[in-house]
Amino acid sequence: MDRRSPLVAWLGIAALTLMLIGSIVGLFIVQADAEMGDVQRLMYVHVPAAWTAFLAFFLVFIGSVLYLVQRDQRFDRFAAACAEVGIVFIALTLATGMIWGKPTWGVWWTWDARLTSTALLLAVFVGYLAIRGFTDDPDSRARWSAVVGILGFIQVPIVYLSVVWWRTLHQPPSSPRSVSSEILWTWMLNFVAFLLMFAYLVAQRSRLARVEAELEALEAYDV
Amino acid sequence: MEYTVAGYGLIWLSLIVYAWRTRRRLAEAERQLASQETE
Repeated sequence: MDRRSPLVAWLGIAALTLMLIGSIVGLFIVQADAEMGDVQRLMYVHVPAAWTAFLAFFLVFIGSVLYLVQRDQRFDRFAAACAEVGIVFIALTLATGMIWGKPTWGVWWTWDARLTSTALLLAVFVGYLAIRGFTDDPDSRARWSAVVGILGFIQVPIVYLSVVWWRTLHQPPSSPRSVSSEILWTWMLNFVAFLLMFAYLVAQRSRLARVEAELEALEAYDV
Repeated sequence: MEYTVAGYGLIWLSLIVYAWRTRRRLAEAERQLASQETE
């Protein structure tokens, strides 16, 4: 898809618009939590950022499996784009969690199972991107990345279930029945906004990967 | 409220900087490709 494609441009505009609405609703419209106060409003971006990151790593898994089955570089480029954007969202999940943790728990960071497993998830996918820089051969790069992408995804259910498996400071997973409809709708609004932003960023990053692959092929031809 | 604003600000700043940086990398790669193809 071309960088100047109107669809991608509209996707970006829609993402920014919905993010703006989501931020206004999260910051000013919904009522502050009776116990935690305003800091609870961070949950309206922290939780959707985590969902978006999990989806990104699931798509890395799908792209990696498809590459290993089809040996088509397009799947590798898609997986790499999702991994890079997923790293941004999981880093934001950790950062907003830390900003929430300081006034709530009294510390920026603690070696709690949820926090530690999430940090490990971030490290695994930073490793995924690092591995891609180890070789110039597109096939071996895609093969090794696919293996790491598939193994890395195993960490996602571990992160999700860490609050069930181990005793943690972090609260257990929320469900539509455990939160009010106001909280649920604000989550969903911000989740859709982040999904649109994710789609826009992956479209741009995939296009970049394709142009880089064309450049690589031209350089290899010249040599 | 300052922690909350810092969190939202970080989200906005990070996503906008990442999107802008990706667009810039893409523009540079496209420029390189165009110049290689004309050589």
